[in-house]
Amino acid sequence: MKVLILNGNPKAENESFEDYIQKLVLELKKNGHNTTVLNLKEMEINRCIGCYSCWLKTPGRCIFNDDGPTILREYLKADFVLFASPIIMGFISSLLKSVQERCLPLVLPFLYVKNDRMQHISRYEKYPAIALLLDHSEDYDQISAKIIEKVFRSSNSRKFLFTKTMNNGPEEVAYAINSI
Amino acid sequence: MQLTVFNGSPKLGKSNTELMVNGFLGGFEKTPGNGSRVFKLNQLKSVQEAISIIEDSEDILLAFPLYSYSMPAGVKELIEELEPLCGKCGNKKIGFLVQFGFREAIHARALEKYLEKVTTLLNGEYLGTIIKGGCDGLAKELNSSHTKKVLNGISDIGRVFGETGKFSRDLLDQYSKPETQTMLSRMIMKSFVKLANKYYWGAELKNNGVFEESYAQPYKSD
Ligand SMILES: Cc1cc2nc3c(=O)[nH]c(=O)nc-3n(C[C@H](O)[C@H](O)[C@H](O)COP(=O)(O)O)c2cc1C
Repeated sequence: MKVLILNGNPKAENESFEDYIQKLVLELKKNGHNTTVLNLKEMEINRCIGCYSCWLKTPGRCIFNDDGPTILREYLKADFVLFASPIIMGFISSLLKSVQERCLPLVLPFLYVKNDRMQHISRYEKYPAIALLLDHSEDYDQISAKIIEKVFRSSNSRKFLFTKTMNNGPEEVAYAINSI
Repeated sequence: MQLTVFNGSPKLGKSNTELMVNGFLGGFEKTPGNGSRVFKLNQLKSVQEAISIIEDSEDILLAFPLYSYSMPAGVKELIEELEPLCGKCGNKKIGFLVQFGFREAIHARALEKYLEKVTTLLNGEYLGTIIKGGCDGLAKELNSSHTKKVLNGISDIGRVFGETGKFSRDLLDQYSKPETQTMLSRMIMKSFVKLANKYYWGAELKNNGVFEESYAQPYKSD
């Protein structure tokens, strides 16, 4: 399976987070997964400015010629994407958040009503399943984790699978990914 | 009361958030003595400047569009930089305004919980969160009856806040409707989105000469 890890840790000093990701990658590779990690803090990622060019002027294409398009290409190639972030002030890092927003070109502007609410129609036929990996530092609490999970679950074009924290060993997370 | 307002829309030009803030302040400033300062977050020199302004303020409104079911990344960065103020904002009242494209309030409910939690982390008094969907076209359709209704509604919330120092829960609940679509309203919404797709999004794609490319998939690997 093709696995993409979006490492949203903004601080290199957070070594335990980086160590964990490395161990997880080793486990995944051991299990035969074609695994790519994108260290977002080392990439050039502008924040979305809500210009809607990707919907209305150059359909599907973001106005920024930074590393955003590379991330989206990798995203679409993957069978599974793990969004990894420390919890900072009760939520994912602004770094990982900016990537989530840059996914806007992956859907169409067009709307439809799914059950009891509006959603956007997908632009691509296939999207990876996604999951969340959060750290377990002093900022961790269950309420924050639940809120973050709810935000990720809301997005219609992605199949959300699970939330794990770094309290679960890398083998355990790799096992959960194997079971997909 | 002196209110400090931050507009967290990442847009470079006119924003729907700005219209909503102006509507709110129109009501708020009806009470003699009330005044406000408004800052556009992406026009400040640095996040630190925003932090200093917050340190100097007692009544704060943080207004922004919903971005992927939560706050825009720039607003999250501001919240991250507030970490040193955790537990130290006992003198502050903080309220939020979240507006967005989808009609139903439910899209912002997870975020609402988060905003209350952040305010608690700071030890501030949580005023509440004004939630309003269906706002994507406000700035584009200034004279429509929908825009007028949305702006009148927020002006009322501002007026009551100006008079009492509180967000009225009843007004917030009334204003954020519909929570979801009912069986009946789904039928109406289905027709509504068809029209929106054709005359709102579709028309703009046509105007820009790219209607034929609406469904392009430029990031698909070969
Ligand atoms: C990256 C991005 C993400 C968005 N996410 C949502 C969303 O999750 N739900 C929604 O209803 N609208 C969403 N919107 C639409 C905006 O919330 C809406 O257009 C808003 O009125 C923009 O406000 P502004 O003009 O003040 O920036 C999104 C827009 C952008 C650009």
